[in-house]
Amino acid sequence: MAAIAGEVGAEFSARGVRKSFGNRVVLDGFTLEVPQGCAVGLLGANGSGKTTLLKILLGLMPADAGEAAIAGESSSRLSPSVRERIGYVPQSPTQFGWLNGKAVLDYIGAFYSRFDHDYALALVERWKVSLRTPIGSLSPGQQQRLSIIRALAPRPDLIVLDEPMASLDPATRIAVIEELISEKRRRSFTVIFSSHITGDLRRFCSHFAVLANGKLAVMERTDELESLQRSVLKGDESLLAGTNFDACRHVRKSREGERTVVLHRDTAEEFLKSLPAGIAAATPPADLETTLSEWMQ
Amino acid sequence: MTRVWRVFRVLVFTRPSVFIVLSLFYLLAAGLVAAGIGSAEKFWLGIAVICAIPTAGIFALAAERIVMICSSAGELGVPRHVAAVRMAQAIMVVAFVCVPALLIAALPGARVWSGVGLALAAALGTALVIQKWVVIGAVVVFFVTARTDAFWNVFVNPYVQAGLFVGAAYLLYRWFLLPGQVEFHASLTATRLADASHEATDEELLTTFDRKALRLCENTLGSLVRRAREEIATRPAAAALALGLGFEQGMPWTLWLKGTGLGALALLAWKLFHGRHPEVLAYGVITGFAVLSVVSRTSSVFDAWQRTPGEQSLMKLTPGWPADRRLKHLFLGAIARGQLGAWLGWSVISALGLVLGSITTDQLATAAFALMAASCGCAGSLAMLLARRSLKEWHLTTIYAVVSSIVGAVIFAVRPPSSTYPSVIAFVLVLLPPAFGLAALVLRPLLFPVIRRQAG
Repeated sequence: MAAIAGEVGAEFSARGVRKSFGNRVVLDGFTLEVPQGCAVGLLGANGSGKTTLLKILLGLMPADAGEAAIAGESSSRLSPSVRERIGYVPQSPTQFGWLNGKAVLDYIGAFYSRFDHDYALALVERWKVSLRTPIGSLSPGQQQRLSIIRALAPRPDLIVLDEPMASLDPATRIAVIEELISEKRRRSFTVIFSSHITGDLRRFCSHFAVLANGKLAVMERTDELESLQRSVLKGDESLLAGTNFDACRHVRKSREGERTVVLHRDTAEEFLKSLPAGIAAATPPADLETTLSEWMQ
Repeated sequence: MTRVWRVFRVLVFTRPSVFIVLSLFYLLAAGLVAAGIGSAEKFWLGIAVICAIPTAGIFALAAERIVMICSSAGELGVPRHVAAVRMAQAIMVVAFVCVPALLIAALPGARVWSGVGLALAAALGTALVIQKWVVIGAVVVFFVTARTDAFWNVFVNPYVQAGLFVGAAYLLYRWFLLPGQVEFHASLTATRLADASHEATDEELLTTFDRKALRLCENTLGSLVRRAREEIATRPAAAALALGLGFEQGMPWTLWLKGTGLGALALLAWKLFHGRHPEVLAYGVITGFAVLSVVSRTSSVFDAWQRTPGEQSLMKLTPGWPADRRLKHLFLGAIARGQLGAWLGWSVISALGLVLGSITTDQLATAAFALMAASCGCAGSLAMLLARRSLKEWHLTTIYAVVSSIVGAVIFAVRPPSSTYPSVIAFVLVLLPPAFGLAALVLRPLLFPVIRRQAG
């Protein structure tokens, strides 16, 4: 099971979750545990099942098999007290197109006992969101900002963000991340943050999880991932096949088989020394995005 | 040609099971002709009707899919998409109207008007999606007036047939225009977002907007939200559901008064100018509007539900949102409330018709049955859909509810006056869809939030 060592009390958990659409298996025995207080950046290729996973976790879509739970309660039967703690920003920001921003905040706010209208209005002011224009007529960026405000205003401590930055300009993206960071300093909350923009995730997330082939490919602390070296090996195919990479974090062979990409913790020199003769290794500086993309291929 | 064939496949064969079921009607007609069961006028009428059912269904499905694929193509700006769709539409007309009509006409003893019948069926099929009022009006006039001999005599008149053919051709022409219109409107979304006006702040909005209209809009929204908040504070109910899904839940009394008043006036005017007999036609049209209202109000609940998976997700995650069991009651309440106005208005006009002697009790019963069939068919179909695992473009249950209600209403309309069995069968056929719908809704989980399964 993929859990984070040394931390207990999973707020979000998925065990053996399986989901298929027709013949296409999207999640194939997916298992994940997100402990209290963690901010997990969820990455995966397009169509890898990130949104499906988040919907199953939130009980918005039934899984074919397996269990999903939030704060120890089955996702399919969440109690009002757990729902009170959840803040969700869906992938599509166009919701309640027939209402304006004020009506949405008033309507949704009525369901929550701790919906903070003053906080919502402060964010509206800061992020320049029109509350009087019908939502259907707002730009995707304004809709996205309003969606984030709506999710944060109840002061949730279980937050699920499904690509909330897709329509935002860089300045607003930074403002949103800074708001999350400043809130996180004030109070503890648990976040699953799905996005393709690794830079945004890196600023805020304590952990990264990569979804590939329906399974959790990796889940690790951000600093651990950043410390990994990425080496590209070239050499005789049989020699590469016979090399022991057990000490490495991840090994990927290129489709043609003439290259092997390895993620490891050693320095470039140490790693080169550990290789048998006849294999050449190049270890160019790798950023977090390049490192994480190795699990997506 | 590959491109046209691909579009044709999407329009006709996306749901093979539905296409196979519809094709069975063609096979039935072919079997009856091959067996030589009859050769009288009514036999060929029956064959034309059997062929018309799948033709209408196939064209209705195609119209639905044209709206779907052209919306996407319009938003994406796919080049030459309209031309490919139109070519596919032309192939459909040849394959499902011209060829079967020629085949029927070529058979010994067959009638040339089979072509008119098939063209009319295709046109009504398209109208079922793009101009519902045409279909509902036609169906109800048929039900209310079908039992008079004069009605049938009208349809064998070649001038009437020519008129019907022209009407069908016009509807099909409108159907050919559909891809271009849908793509044009879809492309406007991208155009709208290509200027900066959608980024206007509230201050900028106030300088450009009609303040009076804005205030009216805000007041209306404010009162709806206030009512929903009052409900939510105690127990979320009809107003909260309606506001969240975006459909009108209250009774639009002003509209109701206008509609009922106009209906009563029409009946009175008809009586003054046309004497007694033709009044049944006016009454049929009024009943048609009542049926249209029942269908459209139920459709508005269905449309609101099926287009708001995102909103439903947010609503379901709120702490005060009701459990599934109560939500099912709220949906049933919304369906019933939506139909109440039509029933009330129709009842007032029917009572007036009886008092004036414009209609007989038998005609009243037939009209009431038609309205009940529409109510039950819509409610049953929606209840069955609410209990599905996912929402598809067209479900066999929907087709079943529509066919069962229509067949029940037809049997009731043409029943012999002295026989009881046809009436019993008609009642059973009309009441089965809501019974199945209720049973499904009680036994199965509610599909909330709705999960749409796209065709293709």
